[in-house]
Amino acid sequence: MNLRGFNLLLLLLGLALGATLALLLTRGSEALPGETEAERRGQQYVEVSRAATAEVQAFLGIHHDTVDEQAQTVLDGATGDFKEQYADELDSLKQSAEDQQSTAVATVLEVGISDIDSTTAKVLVAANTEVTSRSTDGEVRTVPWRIQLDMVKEGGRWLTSGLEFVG
Amino acid sequence: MSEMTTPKAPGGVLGSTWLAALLTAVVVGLGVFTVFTGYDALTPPQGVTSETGQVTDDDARAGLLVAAADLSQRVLTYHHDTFDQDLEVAGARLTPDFREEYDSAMEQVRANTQKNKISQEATAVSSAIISATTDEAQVLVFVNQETSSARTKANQLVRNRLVVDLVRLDGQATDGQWAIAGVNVLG
Repeated sequence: MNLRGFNLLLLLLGLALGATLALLLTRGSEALPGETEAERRGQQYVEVSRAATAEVQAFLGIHHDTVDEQAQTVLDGATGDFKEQYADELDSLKQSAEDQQSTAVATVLEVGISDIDSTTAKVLVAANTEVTSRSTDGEVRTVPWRIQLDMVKEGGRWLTSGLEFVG
Repeated sequence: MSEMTTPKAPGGVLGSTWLAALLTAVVVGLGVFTVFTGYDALTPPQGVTSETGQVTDDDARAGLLVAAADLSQRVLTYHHDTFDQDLEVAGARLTPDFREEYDSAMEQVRANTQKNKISQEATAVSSAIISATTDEAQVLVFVNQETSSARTKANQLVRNRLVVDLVRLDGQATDGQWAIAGVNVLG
């Protein structure tokens, strides 16, 4: 190979390496094929936290006019024992919300994961509700909550199989 | 008279010796940089995601939860008869900035604690990781604080929700241990 050919080869190699470098710098390991175990788990934490937040918000939030819709959201994110228990108590919950003209606006303050594997997770949620009802004389009262959720992955979704208040 | 001739660089621009040297340097430089960048992207520290730096290793996360629970209890536990000792025990695992805040807050309760023989016992009932990299973490800790006093017959129980900020200490004696850098009580 003469000098001109060698230089041309170097130029092409330089361009190829430059393009690869740019791809790696802008996309990181996404530019590389496959997903590491750590990345898969990191993504799992995000999905679990989102599902837990949505379920607690639906569970604690209540409006006496829209109990059925809210209950459906809770049931959609539930499974197993928790789903059965919630469905069993739905009628009394609805009656109580109507009697009391209750409204509770839920805010999830923090979500943490205490234990997780590929299909189960234990999650803590700190939340507040701003409650108004006949028993508060129309005044807004803030109620703090400490909640533990047991979650399972079913059909690609994280669902709540257990919910308990931490005493 | 003979003509002086200078040797011509072969092949125009691409044939220039200087340009060849420059291109070689660029290729080698880019090559080395690319290899290191690619290697780093492919091999983050074990049990850590490359995107967010979140720790995913089970043992590391379990160790963090134990440390957060233990250190939260130390910070919130004190007894009128061992007040200074309790402060020393808690203070040993606080960052310098947070230690100042902690000492200042405890000085404000010292007189009342001793006068009314107050004891406060904190128990971390549950803890969970909000976020954790290898050097910094935020942990949600549910703490029950039971307070007794010579002035009251019944103990008072407060159920708190804390967000505890932790950092890794890098001193010789404490290398690798977690220390509290801040405590935020959720209202």
